[in-house]
Amino acid sequence: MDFAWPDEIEALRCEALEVGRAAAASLSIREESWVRGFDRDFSRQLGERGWLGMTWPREVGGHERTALERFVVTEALISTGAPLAATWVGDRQIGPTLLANGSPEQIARYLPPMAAGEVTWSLGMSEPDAGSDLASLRTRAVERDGAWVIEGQKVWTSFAAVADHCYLVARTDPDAPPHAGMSEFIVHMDAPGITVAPIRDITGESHFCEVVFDGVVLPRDALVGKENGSWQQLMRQLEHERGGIDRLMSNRALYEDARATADRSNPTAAQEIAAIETMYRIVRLAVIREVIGQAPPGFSAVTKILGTELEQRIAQFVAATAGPAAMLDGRVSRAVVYAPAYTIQGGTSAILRNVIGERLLGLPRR
Amino acid sequence: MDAETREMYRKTLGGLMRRVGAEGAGESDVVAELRELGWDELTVEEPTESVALLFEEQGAALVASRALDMVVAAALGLDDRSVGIAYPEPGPTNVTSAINDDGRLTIAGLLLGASEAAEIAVPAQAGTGVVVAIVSRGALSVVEMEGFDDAAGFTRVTGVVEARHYRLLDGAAWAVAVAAGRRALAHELVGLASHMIDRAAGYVIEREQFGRPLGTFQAVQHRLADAYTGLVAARSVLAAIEPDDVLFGSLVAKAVAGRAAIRAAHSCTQVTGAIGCTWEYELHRYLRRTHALDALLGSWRALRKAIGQQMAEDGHAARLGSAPEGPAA
Amino acid sequence: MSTAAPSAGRTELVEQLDAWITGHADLLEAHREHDPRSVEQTAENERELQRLLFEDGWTRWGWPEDCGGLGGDATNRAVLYDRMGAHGYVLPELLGVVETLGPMLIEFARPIAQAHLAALLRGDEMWCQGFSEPNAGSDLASLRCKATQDDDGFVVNGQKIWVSLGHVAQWCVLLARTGSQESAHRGISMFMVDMSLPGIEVRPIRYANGRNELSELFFSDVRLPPEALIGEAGAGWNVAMYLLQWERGMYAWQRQAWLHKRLDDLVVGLGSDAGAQADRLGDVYLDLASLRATCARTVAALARGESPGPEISVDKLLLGAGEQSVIDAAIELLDADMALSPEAAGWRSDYFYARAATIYGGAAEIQRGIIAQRVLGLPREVRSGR
Repeated sequence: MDFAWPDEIEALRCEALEVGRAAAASLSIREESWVRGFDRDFSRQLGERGWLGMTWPREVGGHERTALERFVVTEALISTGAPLAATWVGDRQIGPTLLANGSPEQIARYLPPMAAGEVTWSLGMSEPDAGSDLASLRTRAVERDGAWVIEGQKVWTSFAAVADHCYLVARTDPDAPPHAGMSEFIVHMDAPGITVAPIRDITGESHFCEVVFDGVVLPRDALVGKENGSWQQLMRQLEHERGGIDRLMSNRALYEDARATADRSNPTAAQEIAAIETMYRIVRLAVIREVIGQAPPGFSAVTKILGTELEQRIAQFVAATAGPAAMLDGRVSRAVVYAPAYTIQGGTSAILRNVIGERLLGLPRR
Repeated sequence: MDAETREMYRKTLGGLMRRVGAEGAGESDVVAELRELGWDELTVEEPTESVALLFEEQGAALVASRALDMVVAAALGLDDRSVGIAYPEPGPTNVTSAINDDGRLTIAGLLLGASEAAEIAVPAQAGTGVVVAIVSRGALSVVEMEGFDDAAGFTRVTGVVEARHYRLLDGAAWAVAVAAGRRALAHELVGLASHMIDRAAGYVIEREQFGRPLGTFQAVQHRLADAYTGLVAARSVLAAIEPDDVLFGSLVAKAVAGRAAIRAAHSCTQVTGAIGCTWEYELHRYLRRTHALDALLGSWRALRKAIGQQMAEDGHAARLGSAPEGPAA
Repeated sequence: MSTAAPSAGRTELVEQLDAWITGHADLLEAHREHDPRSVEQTAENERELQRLLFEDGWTRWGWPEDCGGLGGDATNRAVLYDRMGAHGYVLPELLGVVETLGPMLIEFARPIAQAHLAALLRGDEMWCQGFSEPNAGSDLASLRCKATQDDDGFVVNGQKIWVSLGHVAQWCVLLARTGSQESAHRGISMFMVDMSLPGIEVRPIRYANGRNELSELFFSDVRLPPEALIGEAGAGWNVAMYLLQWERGMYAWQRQAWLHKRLDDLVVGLGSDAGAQADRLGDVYLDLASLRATCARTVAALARGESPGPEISVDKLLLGAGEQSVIDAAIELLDADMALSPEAAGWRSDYFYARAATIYGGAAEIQRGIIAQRVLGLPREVRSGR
């Protein structure tokens, strides 16, 4: 088996590296660029290059390129720290979920601007009392006079303060079992009744938000897919959210800088570098398997655990390499303080291990 | 100290620390209040327990004070316990804060707080030995530091001082002072870890997901149990330090405590989930302080290496403390 | 040599013991490792050493005088275990059993201790403990082996498994159910069983290291006299909990002495490469120092007659971590020699034992559950979701 990229893919990868480096050149922190790097100009540039919606059909603004081509571009961009956050949620999961579940009208209306890099989407999933246990969410969507009325609260909604749209999961049938009573909606963030409050995170940054929906009226056609059918749609969407290269690359740029300065005559450091590089290659292959559609359902739990735990290991390595003086360095200390979040956001490692036990290994459900 | 007296002191010190923590008082206030409580006498009567109690409570309440300066100054044999200490900058090989070049001191170290102390004790490398210089605060420049934990109140002190502007103490006491400082820091790390574990346990008992408290999940229970195990080990090692092996024992104790506290911080953050990653929730401030204190006077990684190197040199491993002793006959 | 007289104090005891060990260097040279080939061979090899330690008084200190000891509190025993390791020698393997069963017999069945402890210390007898069953491992309270009381004593029927030394032991300390199955831990009693009684069948189990470390025991209508009962009928759970404290505390102390000795071996084995592995060696040291300091506190508390309570599970976790830390480091750092060389047979045997260290005597998962629920106050697990 030949693992080298074909020439044209390799050329694309090099181009993306160059673009990413240029975009990140002025940034002092290049970690988590898909979570925190918000840059609308760069987003439009990505759109112009055809690097958003790369695999989508041409008639919705896509470019009908292969999943591998999208993989090498996103990997290269994240590795350089290019600011992707303004388009990442849309490109990674909302576009694909609309293509799979949306009406022809929804697809025609929402995908082209997404592929052009003109809009930002946020995710309205977690709630104060529904984090790991998403199925317990309480935000209500009630049908009234041919419209949907939304009441409730969402949390950890990235960039809600500046987003154009929110992809909302809400309860439509309170009497059904928890998994069977949820539906998905497209919300325009300028709708009356929406209040957004930023949350300061552990590093002091505040791209996460709390969003309150107070009698927000959505048109009838805001519903995506089947009424009360969200759970199955979500499972597929979460595979996009968990199994991608972003879960491996968040602090790759920092790692590469630390690797360059590490004392390789120290066997502990040398072995750690070898271990990290080995794991990096393994996880990368797991991501490629997801990308080309060869991973079984639920396998993204394995990919995300491996990737995010490696990211934490990298944070430890970077701290060890910088030595205790890391305490004095803003970039390293930020990375160390942020690292615990890797195994929490997007599904905690504990929950994902349950998924592996139950769905992949067939262990009894607790 | 009997259990009742210990509990009394713990309550008094804990109350003081929590009040200072809540009021956000200046770093000198703690020291002044301790003096009023008769701290100096207590440290003479109960040198080990007093430090253990004070620093555990200081860690638990996340208070930044100059109590460490007081402990180090006492170990240096200084009568004036209000002298500030220039701690070595964090780094694997840094054991002093200055180079003594033919009488001229080039100083680069850390202070606790901006230090309103009139005089600063500066350990300096002199040939293969160490001297401790007492330098006037006015001869040094002090700048704020950025990094993990701004609230820890560390500042960076630098300066070049000629011989006529300082006086020298016997440098041999510096090793003893470092050991005393490491023990105090180890206790403070234990206090931090203990508080984090208590708070995380409280959180997972209250917080429900999947229709039951998070604390019923084994994955959560086991992480906290491991964190607690590390905490107990750190306390045990501190208790095992014997007077005739105090330098090595203190070094091991700080390494074990630093490692345990950082691991506890990680476990507590994980089980506290997203809320623990917010600015508003207190956990990150403990995580930051843990890293900051670990870095002072030798991080656990640096100390671990020193232990390993010592072992390689000796050709065997030192036994920490002797066999347990039974009840007095 | 005459019996040592450490009654003058701890310092003197250590000095005399060190002098004794140094003076017996020739004889001790054969005891730098346990015989990795077989349990039987180990016992055979170490019998002479065990007898000598007894005759010269070293294993008698810290045991009551009416039970064959020379008096003094239990910490006197800890000194011997520690110094043997510090000088680079093994502790006779059978002394591990003494520390798990001896204190319990003294507390709950003094006549049995008076009759047997000296023989055990001297190496004349071997004992085993019959606790686990095929369907009662981590969940010990669900054990089914039955002891039915009648006018002549008790009749035992059932099965035990994972019994260390079971196939060579003359006596077995047995946990059996005297109440109903539903009585759970309240209906259990402890017995001292003569392994030569009719109706007992023993099958050795070959452990992963190749030695017959363990056995399976089958009891069919085995008649026990009333005096075989240890403690009160129905109080076996308490007896077992008392015993576990010593296993968690003093047995862990014995092991830390051995593990420090193993760390010494590793440093020597690395030779001039040791400095390059300073980080890893330091890591192992932190694990062992944690273990040593913690079980020292527990042993001191036990010697004062205190019961450490659920917190003692910490000692067990630290023991498992310490065992695996040092042995795994050795396996990794001495890799070229480790897999094949005949000299490394002892390391390989230790490697398998280290795997078991987080399983035997209550698996690490159980200990974590105990700490979480009984020390930190987390709620009990629920067995099925919503």
